[in-house]
Amino acid sequence: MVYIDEVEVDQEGIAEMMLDESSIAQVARPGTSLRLPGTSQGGPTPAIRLGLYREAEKQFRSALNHQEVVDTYLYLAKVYQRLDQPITALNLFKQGLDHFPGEVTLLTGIARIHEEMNNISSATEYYKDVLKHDNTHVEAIACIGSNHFYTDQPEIALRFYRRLLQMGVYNCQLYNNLGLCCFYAQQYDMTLSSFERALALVANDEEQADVWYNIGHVAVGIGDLTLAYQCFKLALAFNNDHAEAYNNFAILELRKGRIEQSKAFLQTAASLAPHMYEPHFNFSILSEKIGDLQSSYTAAQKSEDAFPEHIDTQQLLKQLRQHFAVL
Amino acid sequence: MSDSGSDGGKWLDAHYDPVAGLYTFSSCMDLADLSGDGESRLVVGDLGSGSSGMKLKVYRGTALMSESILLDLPAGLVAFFMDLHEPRIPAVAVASGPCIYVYKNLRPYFKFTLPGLEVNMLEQDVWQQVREGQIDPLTLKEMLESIRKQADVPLSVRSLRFLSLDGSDMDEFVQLHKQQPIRRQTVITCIGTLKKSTADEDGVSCLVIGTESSDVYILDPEAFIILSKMSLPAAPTSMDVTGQFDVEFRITVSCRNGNIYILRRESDKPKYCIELSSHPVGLVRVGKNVVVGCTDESLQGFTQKGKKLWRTVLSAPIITMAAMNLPTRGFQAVLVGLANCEVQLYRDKNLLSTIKTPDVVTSICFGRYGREDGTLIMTTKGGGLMVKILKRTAEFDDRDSTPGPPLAQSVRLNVPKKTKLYVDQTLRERENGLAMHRAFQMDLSHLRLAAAKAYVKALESSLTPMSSSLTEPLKMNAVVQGLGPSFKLTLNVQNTAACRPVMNLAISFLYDESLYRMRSPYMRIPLLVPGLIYPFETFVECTSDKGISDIIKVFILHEGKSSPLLTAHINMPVSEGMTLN
Repeated sequence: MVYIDEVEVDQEGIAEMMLDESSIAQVARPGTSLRLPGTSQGGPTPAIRLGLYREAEKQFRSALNHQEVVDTYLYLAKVYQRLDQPITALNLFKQGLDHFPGEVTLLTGIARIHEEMNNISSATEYYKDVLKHDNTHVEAIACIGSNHFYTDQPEIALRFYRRLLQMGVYNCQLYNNLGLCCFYAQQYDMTLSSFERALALVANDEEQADVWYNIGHVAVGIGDLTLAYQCFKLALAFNNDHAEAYNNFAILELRKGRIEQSKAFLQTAASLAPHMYEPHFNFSILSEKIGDLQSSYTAAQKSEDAFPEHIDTQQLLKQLRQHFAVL
Repeated sequence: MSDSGSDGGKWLDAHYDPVAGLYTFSSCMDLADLSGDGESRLVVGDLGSGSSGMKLKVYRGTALMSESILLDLPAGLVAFFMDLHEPRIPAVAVASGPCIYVYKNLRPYFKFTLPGLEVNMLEQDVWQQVREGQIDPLTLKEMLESIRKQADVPLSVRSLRFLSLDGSDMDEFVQLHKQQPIRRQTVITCIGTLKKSTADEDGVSCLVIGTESSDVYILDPEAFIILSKMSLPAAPTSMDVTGQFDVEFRITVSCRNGNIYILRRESDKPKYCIELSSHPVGLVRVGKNVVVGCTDESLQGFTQKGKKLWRTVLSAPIITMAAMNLPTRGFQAVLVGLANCEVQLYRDKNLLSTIKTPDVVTSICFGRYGREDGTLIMTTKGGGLMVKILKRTAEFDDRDSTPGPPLAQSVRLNVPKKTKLYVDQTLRERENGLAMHRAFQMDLSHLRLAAAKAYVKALESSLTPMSSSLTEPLKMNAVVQGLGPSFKLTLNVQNTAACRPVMNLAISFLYDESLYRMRSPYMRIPLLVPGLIYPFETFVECTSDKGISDIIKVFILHEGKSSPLLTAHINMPVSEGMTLN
C-alpha cells in the first residue's frame, strides 16, 4: 500500500513549481511533516478523504474545543485550503501559533499559503522564521534559496544550497540547482561538474529532462548552440511534456531557418503550458516576420493576457495596431 | 447638480440617465427650437437594436417629450429652416435608406426619394425573359452571375439578393418579384445643411446629401428638387458644409477610401484632396481649418486647401467627434470621445480639458439646449444619456503641451543590492580566473561528449518525440486524462513539413501487460496534411490494484520498416480510483 502522508499540506509550494518549470528543478523536502500516522486515524480524517469537507470542518472544530493539538490545526487548515479559503486557513494557523508559539509546521503552513498566493516576499519572511526555530529545515532553506535565485541574487542562493549539501541532502535536484546557481553567480569551475554529478544521480526520466534542460540553458549562455540543440532535444526525449524545452527548441529551429517546425513546436509549447507567455510571444514575433499579422496579433494578445507587464509584447501590439490602422 | 472633479470643475452635471435606452451616433443628433418658444429641444434618431425599434425621439429638459417610429435605420438627422413662415420653426430631416423624411411640428410632412440609378440592360433583358416564362430560375442564376462578372453597371439589389438564395427559395422569390420592374436605388450615407442665400441664423437652408453611389446632391428646401449634383471618387462617410449656396460654399467630405475631398461651388468635381495615412473616424471644422480624427489614434489639422498643419497622438481609439462652438465667447474647439471612457477637448493640437465618463461615449452634441447656450449632450454605448452644462466661470487656458523628459526616465529599476558575497566571489574569480577557465573548458569538453553520446543514443533508438528526417518530419506529444482506473490517452501528431503530406504510418504501444490493458494497441494513421495537429485517442485500463504506475512507450512506425520514426514515453499517473478502494 502506498503511504499517504496526510498531514503534509499536499500541494506543492510555488517555489518548487517555479523551480520545476522555468529553470531549476525540484529539491526534495524530507522531514516536513509530522509523521504521526498512528495517532490520527479514525475520526474526521475519513471525512476529508470522502470529500465531506464541511463535515470534517465541524468535527475538527469540536476536536479543537476539547483539546488543542497541532495536528488538528493542520488538518483543519487543510480542509479550508481544499475549500479554497486560504485566508481562513491563514487565520487558523495564526491562531494555532498563539497556542503553540514557534511551531515549525504551522509556520511552514503559513509560508506555503503565501507562496501559493504568489506572495513570495512574505512567504520568505515566514520561512526565515521557520529557520530561526529549526535551522535544519530543508524546505525552508530550499525555498529561500530559490527565492534569492529568482530575485537575481544567485550568489546567496548558492549559499543556501551549499548549506543543504552540508546537511547531507544528496540528490540530483540539489546538484541541478547548484549547477545553475554557480553558472549565474559566475563560479564557472563548479558549474558543469555539478551538472555531471546531477546526471549521475538521476532517479527518473523527468529529473533527467530537467538536468538536460538546464545544461541547455548554460549552452545558450555560452553560445554553444549545437550543444543547446542537443540538450533541449534530450530534455524532450526524457519528458515529452516539457513546454519550456519545446519553446527554446523552437527558437533554435527558427535560427536554423526551419519556420514550419519552429511554429509547430511553439504551438505545442503553448498548448502544454497556456500560462507561459514565451511561446505566444515567440509565435507572435515569428508570424509578424513572415507577414501573418493576424496570427501575430492574436498570439500577442494571448501573451499579454499571460504577462500584462511584458514591454516587448506591448510594443509589438502597438506596432501591429499601427500597422492595421495605416491605409 | 454637483461638480465633477476630474475636469477641473468646468462642467455642471445636469442630468445622467444610464438606462435611457438611446442608441445613436453624433450624425443622428441635433438641437433645435422645435416649437418656437425659445427653448431648444434635443432631436435624436434612435437606432434601436439595429434591426428594430428605430425611433425619432425628442427630449425636452430631462424628459422624453415625444417619439415616433422610423421605418428604417437613420443615417443622419438635421434640423433646418425650409421656409420663411412665422413663427420660425425648423423642420427635421431624417435620412434613411434612399429617402429623406421631413418632419414639421413633429409630424411627417414630406418624403423625398433619391432618383434611381441606371439599370443594367442585360439584367433587364434577363428578367424580362423570366417574366415571359422563357427561362427557369437556375438559368437565371447562371446568367446573372455571368453579368455580374463582366458588367460595368452593377446589378440591382433584387438580383444580388436572388444570387445569395438557396435553390429551394429561388422559385418563390422569382414568383414574388418577377412582375415588378427592376430598379437600382442607392442609399444615403450622410446629410448636412447649407444656407441658401443668407448667413442668418434662421435663414432658409438647402439639404446636402452624400450617397453610396459616390454622389453629393444639394436639394432645394421648398420644392425638393435637385439644385446641384457633384460626384466623388469614393463613397462619402461624413461631411461638413459651410457658406451659402447662392454665393460661395465649400463641402468637406471624408470618404471611404481614406481621402478627404473638398468641393466648391463652381465645379462638380473635388477641388482639393487630402490623402490620409489611415481611415477617418470624424471630421469637424473649426474656423477655417478642418480637424480629422483617424483610426490610428491620431487627430490631424488641415487648412481648407488641404495643407497639413499638425498631428497629435491620442491615448485611445477615437469613437466620435463633435465641434464645440460658443459664439458668445468666441470659443471654438473639438470634442473627441475616446474608447477609454474619456471625452477630450482640443483646441488645435492642445488638450484643454478631459471629461471622464462612466461608459464609452458614442455620440456628442454641443449647443443650446433649453435656455442654456453651453450644453454638452452625450449618449453612451450602453444607451445612457448625459447632459452637462458649461459653467459660466469656466476658463480654458491654452497650454502648449510640449512634453518634458519622458516618464520612464524617473522610474527606478529594481536592481538587487550588491552583496558582500558577490564581491567576494568576484575577487575569487579575478584571482583564479585562469584556473577557473581551464576547469570550465575541461568540463565543457566532458559534457559535450556526454551530451553527444546521449544524443546519439536517443537518435539511434528514435527516443525523441520529433523526427527530423527529411522525408517524414513529424512531431508528437501525448496527454493522459483521467483519475483511473480508466485513462484516456490522446496522441497529438503533427506533420511539420512545409508542404509534403506523410502517408503509411501506424502507431503502436509497448507496455506491461500485467498492469495495463489497451483498447486499441495498434492504430493506423491517415494521410497527414502539413501543419495540422491530428489527435488520436485510445483508452487505457489499469488492471493492477497495487497503486503502482509504469511507463507506456508509444512508437510511430512506417509501414514496412522495423525501426520506429519516433518514440514517446508516457509516465502514467497512479490510478487513484484503485488506491481509494
